[in-house]
Amino acid sequence: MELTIEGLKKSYRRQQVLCDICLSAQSGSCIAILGANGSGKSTLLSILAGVQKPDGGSFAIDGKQLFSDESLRSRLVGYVPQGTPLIPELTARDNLALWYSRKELEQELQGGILAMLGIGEFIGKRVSKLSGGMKKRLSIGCAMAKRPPVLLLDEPTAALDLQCKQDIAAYLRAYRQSGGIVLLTTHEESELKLCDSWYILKNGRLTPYQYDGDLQRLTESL
Amino acid sequence: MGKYTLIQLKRLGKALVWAVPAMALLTVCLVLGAMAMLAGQSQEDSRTRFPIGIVGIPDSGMLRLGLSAIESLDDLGFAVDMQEFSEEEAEAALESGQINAYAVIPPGFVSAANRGEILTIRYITKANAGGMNTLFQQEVTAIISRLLLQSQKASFGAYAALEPYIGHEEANRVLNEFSEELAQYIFLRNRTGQVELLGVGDAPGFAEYMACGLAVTLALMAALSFAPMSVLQNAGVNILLRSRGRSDIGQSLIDYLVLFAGEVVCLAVLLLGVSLAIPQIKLSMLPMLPIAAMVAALAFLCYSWMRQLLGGVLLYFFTALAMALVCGCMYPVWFFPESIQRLAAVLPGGMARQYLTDFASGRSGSALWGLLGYSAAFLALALVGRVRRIRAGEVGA
Repeated sequence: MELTIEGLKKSYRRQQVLCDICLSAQSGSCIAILGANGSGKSTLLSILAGVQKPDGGSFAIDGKQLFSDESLRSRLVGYVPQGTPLIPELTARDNLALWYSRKELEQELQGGILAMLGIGEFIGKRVSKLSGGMKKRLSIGCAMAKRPPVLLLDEPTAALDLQCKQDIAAYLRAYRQSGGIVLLTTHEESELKLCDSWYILKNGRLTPYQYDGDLQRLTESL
Repeated sequence: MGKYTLIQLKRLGKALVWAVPAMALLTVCLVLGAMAMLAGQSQEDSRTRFPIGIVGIPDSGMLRLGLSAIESLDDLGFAVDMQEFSEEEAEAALESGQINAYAVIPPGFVSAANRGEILTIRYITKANAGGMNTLFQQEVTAIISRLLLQSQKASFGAYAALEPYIGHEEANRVLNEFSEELAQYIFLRNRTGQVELLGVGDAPGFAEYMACGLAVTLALMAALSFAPMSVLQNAGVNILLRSRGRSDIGQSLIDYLVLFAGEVVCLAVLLLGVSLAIPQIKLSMLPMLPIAAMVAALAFLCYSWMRQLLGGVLLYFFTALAMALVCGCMYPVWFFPESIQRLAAVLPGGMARQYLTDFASGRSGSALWGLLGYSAAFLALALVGRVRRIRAGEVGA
């Protein structure tokens, strides 16, 4: 499976937020999009997820154009936005019921993605009572309904404790090993180590970056 | 979209756990408050005056006395302030808003009535005079009935006075003649006292008017219960649904319909409460549906454009309160100046009240179309706010 993004553009009023974005990724790869706050990382992911419309460019998987085929995109791309896309007054099960059929939910809880994310331990609890880590795991669980081969994560482990970060990283490794493509935005060192290619988004342009563990150099490049 | 609808209905169910008791409590408080207000007003000396012009100086002391009696309708808590005018002066006073209506009593009204002739009182008013027309008609009929009762007593008094002089048989014959005329007179009394209403047809009674106004006020307040559910809705869910190919307009319409369903449940509680407390007021659910649609759309509009719960609650509360007050839902609109009355007639709250009073008195009016128009406009603006929020990728709490 090959993911390609070509000539992606987006501007708000007269300000160009994304300018001629190009990117490609193979099955099993994990790509980090880095950049200062407000550089357009979240905008890029939300465009790829179909939440916002691009001004131009293409997004394809194995040559199939996703911007023009909404149903194909929704089957192939899972998206976890920055906040938690959950309904706080309902239980974790109720939230998952929005994305899974009853049969799928039971299957995934028995030995699938939801079991891997450890959601079974709090399935009956109200979301408002869950910890930040549990909420994030549940959000990923929601995004993984129908098992999309591409996963977009907007700062997935921001403000989570170490254990949660490790749990999520373990899941993402397993997802990659199964052939999935991960595209994430992050400021976290642990997530940078998880990725195999890195890009910096600056002044609307996406440029490749070779991360070597030197955070000082990375900070100066942003 | 079925799953999203079910999830939203589940949220509504949780909101209703608090909203229904709150609505029941509000209904009880407002019904008791309204009853206490009416009872209190009837005891106060400084009551609100309802100015009415009288054209044609009454030629009978009895009628003048009767008209003075109308000036204090103790049972209703409102007083009528009668002022004498010529017809031209009365017309000008009505036009300027100095008086709310004027009655033209034809010359020789009482003496003609004594001969059994029917002379019609003309009662000229403008629209929105509401239940005062009905009150006036009832009171005039009541006064004429009282006059008849006294006449009956007088005829028996005459028999008692004549009998020693003209004998039993002759006195009986005179009494029979009197009684025959009186019976005819009694049968005709409603027509004698007939009030011709010009400008207003079959206006609702005062109690009906207040019940309709109260129903609209409570309908407006009911939507406050859904502020947390609507304002604090996590747009992240909608964003994710959009990324899964679900239309954002469709999602927002479901949000509105769920709010509408909640409003309908609250109105059902309200109607149940009102029908138990005041059985004589007949309000059904059917005419409340367009009002629920308008109120839900207004609330949805306020909640869709506000990011914070407090902001949403305050915006909606003050909008609803101001509208209920100005549109005559909490206090009769005819006590307000002419300009406010005109404004109230075109505001959604005024249209809701008008539509309900039209429905209650079996009339057809254009208020329903106005209400539906407002509902569509509010909904369209709310959808713009919601969709804008989803497309901008704003994730809520």
